[in-house]
Amino acid sequence: MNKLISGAYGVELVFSGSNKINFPDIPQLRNKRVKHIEFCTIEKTPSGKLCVGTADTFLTVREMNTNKELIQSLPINQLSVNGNRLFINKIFDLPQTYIQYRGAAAITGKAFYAVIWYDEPLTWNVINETNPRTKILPLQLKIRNLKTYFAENLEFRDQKILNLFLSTPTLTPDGLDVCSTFDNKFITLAYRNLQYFHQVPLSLFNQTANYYPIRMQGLCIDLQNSFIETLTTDVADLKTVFFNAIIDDTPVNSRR
Amino acid sequence: MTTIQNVATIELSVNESDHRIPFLYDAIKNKKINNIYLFCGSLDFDLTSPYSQSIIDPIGPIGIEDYFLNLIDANGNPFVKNYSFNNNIVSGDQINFEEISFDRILDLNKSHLLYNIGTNFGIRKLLLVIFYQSENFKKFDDEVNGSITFEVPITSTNQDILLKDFVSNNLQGKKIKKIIPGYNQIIPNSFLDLVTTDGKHIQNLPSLLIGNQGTKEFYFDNIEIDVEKSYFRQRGNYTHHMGIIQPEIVNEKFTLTFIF
Repeated sequence: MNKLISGAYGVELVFSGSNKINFPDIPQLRNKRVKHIEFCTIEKTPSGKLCVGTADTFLTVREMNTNKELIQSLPINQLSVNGNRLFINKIFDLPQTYIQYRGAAAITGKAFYAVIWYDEPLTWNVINETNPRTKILPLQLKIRNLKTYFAENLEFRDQKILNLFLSTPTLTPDGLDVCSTFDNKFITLAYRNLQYFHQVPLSLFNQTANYYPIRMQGLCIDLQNSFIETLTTDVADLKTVFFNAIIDDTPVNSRR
Repeated sequence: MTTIQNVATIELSVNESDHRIPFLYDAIKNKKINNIYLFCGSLDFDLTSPYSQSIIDPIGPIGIEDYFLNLIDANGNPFVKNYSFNNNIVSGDQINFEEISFDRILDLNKSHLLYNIGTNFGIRKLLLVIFYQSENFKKFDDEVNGSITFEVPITSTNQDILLKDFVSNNLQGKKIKKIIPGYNQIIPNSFLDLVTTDGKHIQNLPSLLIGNQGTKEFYFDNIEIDVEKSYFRQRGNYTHHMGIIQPEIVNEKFTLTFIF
């Protein structure tokens, strides 16, 4: 199963001649504990680079505290949506962490897209894991442009979110066409000026298949600073994205 | 993970001219509701209701067919608003669903299923499968201490078989954690109607629901089955597939494995 997370960061890794790519230094991820890493099987990255598949590629992680390569040449297809949900639980030395392609395809200019699921102490909240009491609210956003911000929704203010399920009814309850093309869309969620979910593929929120559900650690959303980006604005894209948010509803006086 | 202690399975008549089904069911009155699934039929084979001869309809082929769950708890809190119930559909074609626990006593007068379906398709039949608690769950333990498998003597497409007619006395006294329907090619168009020795009722639980293999898990709450009051209900073709009798599956054997 997934571990509790409080941040997720989408990282684009572009091949520029060498078969080895080091991760960039991402200030937001420095000294953060990585719970899971996921290599996405999407067509294009947020910047429009074509993605290559996950075959013949291996991940090596250098851990910050020990300065050792604690994970060596792990096949990244084990880290896709259909792979194993490995509990990494390490602080990465990201610039010394890399992937290596050992296949024969021409990959220069192409990319991988990884999502790093991590602990973000600035956003997490204490939640009742043993006897949770939850409520479910709808959250929707009509895609209008390449980047569309959520509207303020008072019902969501300071709500501690445990999961966001992407739902695909044909119409929303108020009669709007629901979007069902997710692979070209990315969501960014913010709270107090921190984008704790940064360009995460929307498809990862579609959890009805045999995927392990996302476990968000009671995360609040500042909706007006949160948005969805789409790579195209065709008719199929300019529809409404419909979520159901699972929210911690434990009475305040019984929270640990 | 879903824990099964009691189940109420209700036949829904979805009328295109209406948009709302209330939750006025005596079986769940003042009971803590754990999970709710919408069970529908399949495009590939017929499955009839355990209560009538009505075919359970598949969801999808008529175009727009959206269901939204709205639940109000006994204290008047609307704690589930427009949850897309299309995410909780289980059928022979659809085993992708979300595991959402509600864990509250409902105000049955105000809780309801809102729906929006295409017109000119008449009344549609579906099943609402509601998991509920009548007491605290027993301590969870998924360790397998043993199992017994029995072949179910199915001879008809519409058959109620008392459990004591095909299970041995070895099941007596066993605290059951899982029941696994076993089949080779025929999808189990059947229901388990189980009564426990302490009076709990698992009413017409679709075999398909617990036969699903994947990351969604169903565990019984260490139940002891009263085999003299419990039934296996076959409700669908067992020698047909896609409407054609296929010789290699006429001799299909259907089994139930009890894990304790």
